Amino acid sequence: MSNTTKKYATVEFDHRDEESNSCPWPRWERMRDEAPIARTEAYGGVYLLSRYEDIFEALRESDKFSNAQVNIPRKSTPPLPPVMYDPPEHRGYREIVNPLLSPTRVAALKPWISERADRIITPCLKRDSFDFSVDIAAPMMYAVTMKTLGIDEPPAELEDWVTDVSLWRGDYEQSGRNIATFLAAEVEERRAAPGDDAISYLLASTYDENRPLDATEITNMAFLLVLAGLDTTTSALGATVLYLIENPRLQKQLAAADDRVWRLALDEFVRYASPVAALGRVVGHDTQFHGCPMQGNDQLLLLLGSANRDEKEFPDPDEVILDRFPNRHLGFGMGVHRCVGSHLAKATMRAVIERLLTGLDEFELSSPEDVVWQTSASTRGVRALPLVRQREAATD
Amino acid sequence: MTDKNDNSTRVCVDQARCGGHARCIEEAPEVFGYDDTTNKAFVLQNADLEASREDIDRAILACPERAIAWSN
Repeated sequence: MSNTTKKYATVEFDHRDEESNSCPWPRWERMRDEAPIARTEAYGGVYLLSRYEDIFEALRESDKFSNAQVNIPRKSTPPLPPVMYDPPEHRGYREIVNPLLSPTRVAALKPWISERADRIITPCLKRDSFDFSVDIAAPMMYAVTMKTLGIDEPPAELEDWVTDVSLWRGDYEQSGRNIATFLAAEVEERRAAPGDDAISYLLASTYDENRPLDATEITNMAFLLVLAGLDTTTSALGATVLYLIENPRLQKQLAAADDRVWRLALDEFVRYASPVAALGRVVGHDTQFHGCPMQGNDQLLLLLGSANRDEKEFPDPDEVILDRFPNRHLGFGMGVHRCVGSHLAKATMRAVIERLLTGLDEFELSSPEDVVWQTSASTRGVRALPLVRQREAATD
Repeated sequence: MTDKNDNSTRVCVDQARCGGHARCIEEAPEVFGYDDTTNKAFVLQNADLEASREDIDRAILACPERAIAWSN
């Protein structure tokens, strides 16, 4: 695997193939050991980083590694602010979005989140079977997203469109255009009649304190807010609940956990799940990384999923340790592009898991073969997790 | 109000590095605050650093950006 003259190892690797989708960990481990800077010819050639320390460093080097491309292969969306912009342009957009999803805003939303989790989960726990991902996690994240954006009565088709785009399903390019058209109309409606919602807030915002955002910018920012929390948080929840089902001991520990352990546990679940498994970057200009020359426009893939299982940073990395500390995982990324929704994601995960724990111990996997994993481009996660009431529990 | 802190002991949040994870606030809520506009943490005025020494040490370890440090 090694090639000392080129300063990188050539590997056969595709972050979207079946091995990456269903069981990526052994290959990631080999790459961390033998090919920490690697290159695959897939997708027109991509450099790959797999070690925690290397990815930590690369995430910080936003001047070297641009966010103009965060998905490999490139997704045909317009550049979405702030994530697909680099500093200094990035900062003006990010400052606008920050307060929308700040810890204070999230704290105010918590009662609503708990109430909605209760409304979605309680009926499922009364049934003899349900699919955690399909019946709970995905609709919960969709509801939270619509609430955040202040879209009270979304058209029925919107949920399908956003699912198409976030999972690269069906004619997702057309669905993306449909979402943009819908959001552009919402922007004009709020312009005429502003309310207490995210789009009205964006309309009232100024970029870098010197100009209002134009309609395209607002539509694109809203587009990102619609998409960013859906399959990511759904995946984090799916991997967490799968682990809890397979390790009932943890369900009991969590049910008895104090507030600090809960907080640590949420970050541990995100580390373990790593929904954004492979984050793209594009090399901004000719440069080198640890002696490996890279040219402008070269593609780079940061295997966050691998970094979060790096045994040099995380002892027993494949195990969920509820009170793991320290836990400087990269599940939300880091640096200037740190997931702005991380506080909302953790608050929602906690509400869902807490409610679920009131009855999860009566359920088991219908069959391990029924668990569906799916990889889009940057994200990888559980899309179906069918659970059935345990036979023994039913007769107890 | 008298300054509780020995002038030689300080804790700093590197504002260029802070990513707004808020993990320090979870570990040491008496010491760190959060600015909702910048999404960055800062050291609260009049925080009793000596009394919160262990919490601060944990906050330093918790920070994914390695942005917090004791300084003199």
